[in-house]
Amino acid sequence: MLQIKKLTKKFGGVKAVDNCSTSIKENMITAIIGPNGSGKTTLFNLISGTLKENNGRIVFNGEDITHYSPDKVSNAGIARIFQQSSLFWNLTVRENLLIAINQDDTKFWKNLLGLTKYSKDQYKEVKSALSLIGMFEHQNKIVKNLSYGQQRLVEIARSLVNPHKLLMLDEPVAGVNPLIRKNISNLLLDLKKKGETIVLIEHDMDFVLNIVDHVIVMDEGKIIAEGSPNKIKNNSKVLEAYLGD
Amino acid sequence: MIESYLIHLLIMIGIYLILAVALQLAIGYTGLMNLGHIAFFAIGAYVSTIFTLSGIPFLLAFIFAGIIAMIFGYALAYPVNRLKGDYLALATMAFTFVIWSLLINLKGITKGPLGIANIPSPSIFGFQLISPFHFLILVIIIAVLTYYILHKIVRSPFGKVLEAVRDQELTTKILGKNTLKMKSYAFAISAFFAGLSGSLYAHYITYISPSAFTILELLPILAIVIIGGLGSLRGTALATVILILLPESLRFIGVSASFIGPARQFVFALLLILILIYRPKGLMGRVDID
Ligand SMILES: Nc1ncnc2c1ncn2[C@@H]1O[C@H](COP(=O)(O)OP(=O)(O)OP(=O)(O)O)[C@@H](O)[C@H]1O
Ligand SMILES: [Mg+2]
Repeated sequence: MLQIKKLTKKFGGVKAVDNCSTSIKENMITAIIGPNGSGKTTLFNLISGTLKENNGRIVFNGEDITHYSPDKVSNAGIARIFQQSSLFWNLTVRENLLIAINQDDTKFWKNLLGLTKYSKDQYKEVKSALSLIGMFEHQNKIVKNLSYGQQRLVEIARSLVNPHKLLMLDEPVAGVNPLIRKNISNLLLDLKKKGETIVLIEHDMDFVLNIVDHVIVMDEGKIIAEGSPNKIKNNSKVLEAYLGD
Repeated sequence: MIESYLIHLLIMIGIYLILAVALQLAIGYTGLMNLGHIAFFAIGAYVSTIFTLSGIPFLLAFIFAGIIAMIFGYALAYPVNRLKGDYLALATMAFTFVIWSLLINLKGITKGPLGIANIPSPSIFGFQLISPFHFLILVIIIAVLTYYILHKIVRSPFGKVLEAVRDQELTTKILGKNTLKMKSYAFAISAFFAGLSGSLYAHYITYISPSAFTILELLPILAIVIIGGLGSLRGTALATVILILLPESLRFIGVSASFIGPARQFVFALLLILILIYRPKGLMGRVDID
């Protein structure tokens, strides 16, 4: 579904992503793991177009998206959440999701003439996404008033209703309490059953090894290992990257 | 006497209301710290004046005042696209200086610092609006329409995307929206109404010169937007009425006429400081902007 070819990104002298090649397969949950600063988020940023690569190509379903702007990448079918909370603070939970779902809302004249209302189907989809994460009763709350864990859930729900073929989650459960963590892992497994393709970055090994099908390990900008969770658990390079220094 | 004074105040409230709700759209709803608003007001005033003086009917000149200001607003969004907060404020303020110096220097068109006098009172379909009362009716119609249209915009899905741009521009892009387009629309809409307001101002005062469009003239409008509260059109309307009427009370406590001008500036600045200290969200504000 997604191919990354010899991708490199330098910040000054630091190669944050260093000649990485890999691919993401359909209808799987793939995890990208690695120590702090190993280049995971940078790789996400390159894919979603918020950073420009120095070298390499990114191909999504046969479409070369290497030089796309973030909104074009999104419209090509890639949805994501950020490592830091990035909700629309002053809007309600429901409004946050409605913005993600609606594709006509940037058309000025249609809006001025009152032709772009949110549709019944859109309300319904938002409702079911919120029910899925147990946040339906909070739909009219302003998101800045929610707890951190609830905000993470809303962000996940927002990326879910944003039309997409691939979902990229940057540390969805970091700093979230164990109960919500459990909910999120169940949710991801359900989504996979429904045919979603998901890539996630995560530090929590238990979380990762329990739900994912494929693991990509990064260290110092390089992909040092790749394979099934069981294979990765016993890979000596991986153990060294995590336990060394 | 008292009647014409009241009519004058109401006309000023209308003109400022249009300016302030338009600026609220840019600052409060879209998060664009636009200090170039007075330049759009100036463009509207000059376009309308120059057009009517060259024989173009008022209504057409009025609409062009809005459209030409709008084009400037739309275009301004591009060079300042990557700027945020203070930098955006500085760049848009620079825009005010650019327009102001054009008004001074393009003497062939603008008559330079002397300004343009004897601006005709509006004539609509052959009906001359000579009396201030007739002019007031025109101002009320335009102000109400402006408020209504902006209300429609901010309540629509389009308005929600503007707020999304204000809260998290990068995330708005990640959700597939072209945020540059959204910001240029916000600038354009805001400038359009500022231009209309400028036209009304010119034909009401009947004399314009660059000195009426300096950055100082932005102070009352900015004060209205912040005191009314970011992200609230109703608050903006309320603050307009308060800020136009409050300095007038100075007259009744015996402040001399020559002192009213500076005293007004003083009242605006004082109110602004008090609000920022004691009620940072303004009268009816809903949003926190960091
Ligand atoms: N915008 C930037 N400017 C300069 N250096 C950056 C920038 N973004 C990331 N880096 C550097 O690139 C390297 C990789 O960072 P990145 O955020 O991709 O790591 P990560 O694997 O996501 O780490 P973490 O697990 O802590 O989130 C780090 O050395 C970081 O300091
Ligand atoms: Mg990271």
